[in-house]
Amino acid sequence: MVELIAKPALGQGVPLRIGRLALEAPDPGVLSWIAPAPGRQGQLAAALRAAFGFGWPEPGRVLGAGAARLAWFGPGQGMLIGPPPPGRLAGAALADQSDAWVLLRLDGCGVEDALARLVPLDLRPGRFGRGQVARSLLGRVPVVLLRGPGTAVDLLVPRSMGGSAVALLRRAMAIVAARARQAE
Amino acid sequence: MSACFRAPAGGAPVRVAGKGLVERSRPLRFRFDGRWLSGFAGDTAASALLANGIRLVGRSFKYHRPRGLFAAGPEEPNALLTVGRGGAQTPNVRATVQEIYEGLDLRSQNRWPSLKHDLLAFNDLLAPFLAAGFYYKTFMWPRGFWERLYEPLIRRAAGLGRLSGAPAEGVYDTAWAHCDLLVIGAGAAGLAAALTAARAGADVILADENPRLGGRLLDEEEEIGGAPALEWVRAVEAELSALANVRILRRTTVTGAFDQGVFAALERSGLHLAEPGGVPLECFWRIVARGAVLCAGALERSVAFAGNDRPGVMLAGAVRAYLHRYGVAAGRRVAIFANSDDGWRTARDLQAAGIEVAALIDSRADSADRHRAGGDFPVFAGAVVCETRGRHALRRIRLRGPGLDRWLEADTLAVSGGWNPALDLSCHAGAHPLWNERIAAFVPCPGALEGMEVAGAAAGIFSTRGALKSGAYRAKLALERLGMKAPSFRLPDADDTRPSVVPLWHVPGPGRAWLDLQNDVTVKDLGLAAREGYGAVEHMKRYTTQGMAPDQGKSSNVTAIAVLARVSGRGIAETGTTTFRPPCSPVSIAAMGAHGRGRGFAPERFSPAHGAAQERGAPMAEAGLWFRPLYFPRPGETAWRQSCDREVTMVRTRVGICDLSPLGKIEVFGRDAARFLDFVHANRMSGLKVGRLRYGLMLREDGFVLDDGICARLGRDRFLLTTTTAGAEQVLAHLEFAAQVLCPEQDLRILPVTEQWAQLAIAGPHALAVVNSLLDRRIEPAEIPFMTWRRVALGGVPTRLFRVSFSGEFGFELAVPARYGDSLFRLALAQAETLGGGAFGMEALNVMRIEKGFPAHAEINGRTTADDLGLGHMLAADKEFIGRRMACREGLSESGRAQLVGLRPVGAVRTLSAGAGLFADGDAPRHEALQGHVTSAAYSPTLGHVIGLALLRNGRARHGETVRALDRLRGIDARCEVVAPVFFDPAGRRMRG
Repeated sequence: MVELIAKPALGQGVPLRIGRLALEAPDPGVLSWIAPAPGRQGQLAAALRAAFGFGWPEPGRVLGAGAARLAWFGPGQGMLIGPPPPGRLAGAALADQSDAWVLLRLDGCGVEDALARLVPLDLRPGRFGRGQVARSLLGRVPVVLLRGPGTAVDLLVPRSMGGSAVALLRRAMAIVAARARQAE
Repeated sequence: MSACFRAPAGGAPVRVAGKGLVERSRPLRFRFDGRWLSGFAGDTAASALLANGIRLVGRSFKYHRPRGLFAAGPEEPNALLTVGRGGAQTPNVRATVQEIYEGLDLRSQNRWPSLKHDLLAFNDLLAPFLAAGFYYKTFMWPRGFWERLYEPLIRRAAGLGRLSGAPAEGVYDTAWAHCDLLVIGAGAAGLAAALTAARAGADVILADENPRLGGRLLDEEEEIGGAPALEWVRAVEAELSALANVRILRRTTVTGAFDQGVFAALERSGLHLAEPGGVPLECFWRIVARGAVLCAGALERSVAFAGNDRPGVMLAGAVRAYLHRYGVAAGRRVAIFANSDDGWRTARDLQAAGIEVAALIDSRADSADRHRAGGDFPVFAGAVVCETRGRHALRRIRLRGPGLDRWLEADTLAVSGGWNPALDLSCHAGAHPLWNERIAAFVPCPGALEGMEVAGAAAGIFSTRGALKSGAYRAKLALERLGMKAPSFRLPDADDTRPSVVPLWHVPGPGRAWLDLQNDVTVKDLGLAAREGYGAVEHMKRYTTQGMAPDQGKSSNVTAIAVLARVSGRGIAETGTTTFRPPCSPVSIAAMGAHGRGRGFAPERFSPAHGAAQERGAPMAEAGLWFRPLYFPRPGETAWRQSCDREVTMVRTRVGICDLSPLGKIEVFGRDAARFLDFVHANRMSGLKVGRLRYGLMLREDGFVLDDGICARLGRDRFLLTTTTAGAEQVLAHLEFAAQVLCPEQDLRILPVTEQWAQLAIAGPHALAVVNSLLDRRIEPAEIPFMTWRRVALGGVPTRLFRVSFSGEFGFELAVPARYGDSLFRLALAQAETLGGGAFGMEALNVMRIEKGFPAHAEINGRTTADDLGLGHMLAADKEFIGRRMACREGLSESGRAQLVGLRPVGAVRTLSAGAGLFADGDAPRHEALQGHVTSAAYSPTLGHVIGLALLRNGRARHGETVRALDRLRGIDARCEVVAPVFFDPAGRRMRG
């Protein structure tokens, strides 16, 4: 029997620390795309509540925290981040997307300033806080943004574009660091 | 007040002791045209040049006339300099905006060989022949000369600075910002507005183009609340800086106002630094604001009179700014010419600083009555300046008035013709400003830009007290619209002088009276425009170039409109303004596209097996942002064709491995998935059994082919579609549109899964051996017939195995989760190599699909129908599907259309090229006789000759005919036989196995 070796999506680009900002690629665990069957969202929410303690998210919201999160992912779609999906999902469509997305976590002083270089959304803490998720662009790379732990912002980017995303973030982090140095 | 003069080499102006905000303890050295000069921190290039006695700073655009500093702010039309060299060279930098730093390298522009001795000043002698529009009339003959001779000559002689041609160095930046209230300008009105909003708790962005806050207060000597105005500015700045809800953007010019509260702004973030390091030189901001207050102030205008362009003729407000802000005397003997009390103000300020005032020439006859206190300088009331003398610097002016006509010595003439509100941003949505007779200026039209209030001088309120009051009031209004309540603003005491301007636009006299100094437009040019029928303001602008180029006529437009109104016998309000468009100040492309430079232009998409392909030296091509290997060169192969031919033969005789991960993959879930796929495909999909595959064809609404691909039924309510690499996004958007808009009642859920899977094609006679060497459990051919798929396991990893072929060979495709893609590619390749096979790339794949006559992007080019491609039979007659009705139009299936055929060269020339035009044998190869084109061409190592696919008029009925394929670009003229498009294994026996 052959042995297939799993290879991480990102090479040596991360972890990365520039100035007071750090970029890392933590293991998100399993990513499961879930899309409830018409009229059965309530049953799905109940099944999820039984398994994880949270139901189905409203548009633009994330439920749960830490090791198990369920993020709205589009109209009638959610992404379960962390644990494997429960066995019973009330007829919802389910697809493993663990290999499709790369999780990047940007943390430190000036996270919003760095992302302002690349993301058109209003990410001021009062406007984009815990429990919120948004799909947007990071430069020209599609991105899903979630509030991470503490001051961090989590970014899901397509695996094939992970290198480009890191390069863009590295540039933005360097600019923020240089401007902070100059301001001191 | 005592004054201390230091006479530099130039002989004239100087620093004034005790004046200015520059840091005298921090001297800096900089260069101008190679000469080292000194200035102080806080100087602009303009103030430092003036302090060094340099009056001649540039040559004019058209006539190469000597020009000096005219303004002290961003409206400066003359002092455009080149900063830096090579990749760091920036032309057309306004000296009034560039702060000096140690080692700053400045050069004058548009002169040869030197600024003082410019040979192109010869143009000035030809002025009678070079009036506005001269090139529309003069360079008409011979016809072909315009493009090759006249235009290049004119461009060389006329112009601004030049680019170095080297790629731009330095870091540039773009960024987004969001706020409740954007305050544009940090003068009296802007500071009052920002303070009001900040105290109300709003998120405020205060943007000002200066490095210091204060606006016009920096340029004047004024008091606020009984103390110097700058103390008030410092107190406000301290309060704003301490607040978390306020962001101050210095050196930031708001350049455009767009819909829904979006503003563009350019921050000169690092252009003032000797060593910027990683600090961006500029940042292009896109500011999204819920509300805005425009407090951009006003710009002074001049008066048109003969010789008003000489170095030394400056705006009076600039003379005061150089004195108060930079401690620089604009001249030793200054005359002042004004039509308002600004003349008196200038004269008194200069005299107080110990600078000789040669005369105050006030065009208002009642000037002296207004100022009974007078001043210790000669005053000529009701008089005007009508002429000047001095080549490289002003020497004399000629005064004329009732009973007066005399020459007066002066090295500087401070002119004020009134002030124009800086209202550009209020007009970017298309509004035109209104003429206000009382202040003789255009003012913003109320409600000109949704969500924007206008305050202070920008609204025509010129006194400091009025500016403070309107700033606070307008901020309050803007906040109320956002549902926020502003605390009351305690208005401090400040100057509340009423406007006193009496309009004066043009003083008739001998010689040219200049309006637009940057474009060399004179009063006479406007008269000519009006006489020749270009009297409408927009026509006048195009005809004369008034108000074009970097400064956009900031200091001259209103004067030009007034002059045009007079010569065309209309009122100023009736004449109106030209259209205001963003940007109102120059923005460098490097800043706008900062993150898109080089590899940042577009994301790079890499397949999981990219590294393995790279290790084997495969050159890459981009397809839908993916990097795909073209071929895998082996030692000794020096040309791509060698590798490609070998790879084709290898697949046809042994086995080949090809990475197909970038192919688009979309899953469709739901009870209505089968019905939906019937609707989006031209052929039927609902009959497909679980475990089977079918070739599918999608049409656009207009009946033309959108894309093709393979559809696999994964389960009863689950399908997998594959698309072409470049078509993936388009097909997904098409499916989402169909699902959300056309079939909203259906149970459908659509997910793109391209990224999740790594997919390999294994093709060739030994394909099964390779597959079986990888699978955990061997599979027999009978278990997986052609066009079916099975779930298998590979090293314990759940894998999908498809029996499908794009090369026409017996073959399979294996799909594993992307993390295993690299490993799978290496394992499969090693197995293939033991069997005499190897990897193959896009080139070989392309040759094999041409051999098989499979259409690809060159044939499915957006203009072909299913019938054109010979796929007309796939259009199901018994169901409704997208594109069906339109595909039935006569024009889309009639016999005269170009249809897919094969081509085989049969003449002396045995080559073919994609793009070659097709002509009937014997027709003259003219456009009217064109019958189609070659879409794809390749050398087929399998057949031993060149083959091609083509779209040929009525092609299917013409097999056996000879046509001529003509490629003028590559010089290929080949006679070809028209054949069926499938060259190899037309019955498909090989792929069926």
